[in-house]
Amino acid sequence: MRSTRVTRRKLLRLGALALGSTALAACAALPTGPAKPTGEPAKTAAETTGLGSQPGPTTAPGGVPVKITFMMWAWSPENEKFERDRIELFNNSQTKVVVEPLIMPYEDMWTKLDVLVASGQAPDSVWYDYAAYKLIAKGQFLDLKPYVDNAAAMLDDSIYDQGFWKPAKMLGGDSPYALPIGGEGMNLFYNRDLFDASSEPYPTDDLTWDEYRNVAIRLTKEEGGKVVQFGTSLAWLQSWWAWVMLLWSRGVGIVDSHFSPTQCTLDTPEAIEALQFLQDLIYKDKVAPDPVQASVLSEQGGDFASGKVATMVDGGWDVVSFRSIDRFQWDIALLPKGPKGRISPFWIGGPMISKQSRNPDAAWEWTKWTAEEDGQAMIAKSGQQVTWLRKAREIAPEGAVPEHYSKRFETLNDLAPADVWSERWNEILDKVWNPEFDRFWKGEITAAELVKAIAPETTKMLQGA
Amino acid sequence: MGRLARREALECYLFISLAVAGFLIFQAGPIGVSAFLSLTNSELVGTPAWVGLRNYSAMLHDPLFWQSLKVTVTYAVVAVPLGLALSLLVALLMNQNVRGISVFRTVYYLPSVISGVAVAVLWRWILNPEFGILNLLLGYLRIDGPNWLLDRQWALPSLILMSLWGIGGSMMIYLAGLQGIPTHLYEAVEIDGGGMWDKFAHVTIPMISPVVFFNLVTGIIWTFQEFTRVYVMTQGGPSNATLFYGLYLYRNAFRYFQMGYASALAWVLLLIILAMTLMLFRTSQLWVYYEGSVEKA
Repeated sequence: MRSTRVTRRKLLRLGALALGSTALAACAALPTGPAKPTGEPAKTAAETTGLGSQPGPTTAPGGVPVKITFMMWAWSPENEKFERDRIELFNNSQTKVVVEPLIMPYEDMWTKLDVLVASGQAPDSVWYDYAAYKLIAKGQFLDLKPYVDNAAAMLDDSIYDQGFWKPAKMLGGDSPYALPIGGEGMNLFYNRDLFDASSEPYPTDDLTWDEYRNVAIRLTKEEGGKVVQFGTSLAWLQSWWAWVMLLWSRGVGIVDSHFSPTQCTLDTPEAIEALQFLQDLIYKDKVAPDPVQASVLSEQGGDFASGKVATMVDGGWDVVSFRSIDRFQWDIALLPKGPKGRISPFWIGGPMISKQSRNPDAAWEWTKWTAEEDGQAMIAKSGQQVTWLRKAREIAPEGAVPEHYSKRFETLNDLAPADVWSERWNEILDKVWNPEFDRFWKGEITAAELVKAIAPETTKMLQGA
Repeated sequence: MGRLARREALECYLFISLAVAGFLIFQAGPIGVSAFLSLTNSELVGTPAWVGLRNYSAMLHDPLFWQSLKVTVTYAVVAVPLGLALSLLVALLMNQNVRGISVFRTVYYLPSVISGVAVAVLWRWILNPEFGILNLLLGYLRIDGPNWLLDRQWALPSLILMSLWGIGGSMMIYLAGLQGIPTHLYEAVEIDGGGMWDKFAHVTIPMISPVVFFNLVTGIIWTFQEFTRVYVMTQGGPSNATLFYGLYLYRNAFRYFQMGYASALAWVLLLIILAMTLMLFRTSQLWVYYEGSVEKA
């Protein structure tokens, strides 16, 4: 007969094991391995054949709803309320899945997600952002293709905008890792009052970058040697993911491929010309605020909201935040064109499913719902993003919108994913680009000098050096 | 060991057991694992491979490691003594027996309890080159104020200036030390014909030297771990002029996923802090006076 007596040595061993395990879990540095999914995705995925909400066949033993966690960030209390309302609407719309929110500030969320993934406790569902790319590249999120292949409507361009798929397939293949339920491009925002005061016609669809500069020159006003009204503000255009539009409009780009980049292509005459064009708006034409002037405007509510800037390239997302402006009338237009046309940088948002999820099918039910009528109507009404579902774009956002609100959708007719999907991209930005761009935007070096300083090093790092 | 001694020992272990368990569970484990990770190429997820001391040798050729070290050491060398001197000065003023002194003490202590982000926003206004109050005051003195946080030369001095905002904490510790000085010592100086300076140099300073030592050691440790302020205010810019060690470590761990290298950075930081603390303890024998201690012959 085997002894079952717990000896002191056994107890000590168990204690040491428990202590060691706890310590390892607490340090959250080594993965304990992904949890096994309850079933093969392709076999159990719900098939979306229409636009109505159709909770799938997720089973809940004993009729108890399956609980899943959804991780998302919030920029503001209003933003957090939107997320909670969305989850509540889903939870009330069916009885099989209960989503539990895990909402936190943006920066904290990604650090926490890294730690949760490393400790094998990843949330079932996570909202996509570029910050998740490294985890996606390391296989921590499910390939959604088996689910999507069973949802015919999602592959129908007359129902869902198929242009949204490209940035969702960030590993370069045919597999999406996020469901692109919302997207966003950029527009030219303009202060109508300042245009009216100078009898300047509003920007049209044919506006070119050269004409944009001329308009900015005409709308810049000085008093006593001091600029009191800027024709434009670079603002986001000082970020690479926005100024890349000028390169695209000249037929060049920053890297050879945004999905598997190996070469920095900034060292072309067209790219240097585009960057110099932007710097000249600040220091040569003096129609855009320099960093010091911009810091003053930012304390007055932001460049555009200050009412002292006539035009500004901005993301469609600011249509929502600019609704609170009541001091002047504003509107949006399409981006200016270059010799090779107009292309807007583009981003998507939507849920991903963690590879560690024990309930991937339930997570898919939630994911799918966000793309269906109810979920998409919520996005449309909030105006937070452009909906993936074309039909939902007919729903007017709550609150005032600019007269040419439809330009927010039109800008997506010519788009390209802005992000660069390389595991070293953030490192390249921090170590190579940002220090030199700090000097460039202060006017200490020219575009040619900038490119000479960063292009070879970027290529070297992209190639793994 | 007698029965009473055994009982005392048992009680002692009982009392410290929670703290020891807490340390073993929540700190010793991660510390040990980070030492292991520093010898691997860990990328947070996946199985790390053993690389030996490669992460440590890589630091020698990493210009940003040296830049972050330079920034942090410069900050510590200037901000700590400046903070110590200023907080002592304020504590001396707050130790005066005047009417309403408790209000003044509260006013000087209050800034140190305001949260980091709120302070950061406030200082962004103070340091704004166009409408900030600092440049406004400099303007009255006919000095053209710099661009503070936007200027490579002035960004670090701006953060040093900002660090003085939190002197209220060490001021309170100084104040406690000052109030513990027996008045008869000052009376003895008076009898000997000494003035204010003699009282300060020969009574106040020696008597509060343990407090100065405490504030110095903790100040050095905190400044080497500086993170939040720089993360919110400058993100290490402009052009890495404020790239603190803690920020560079964080970036490696959570932005570049180079957990092995970040762990090695953390261990080097620990060794630097340990070396500085040991050095301070060694030198403390020369300048720290403990009342009641027996001087070596």
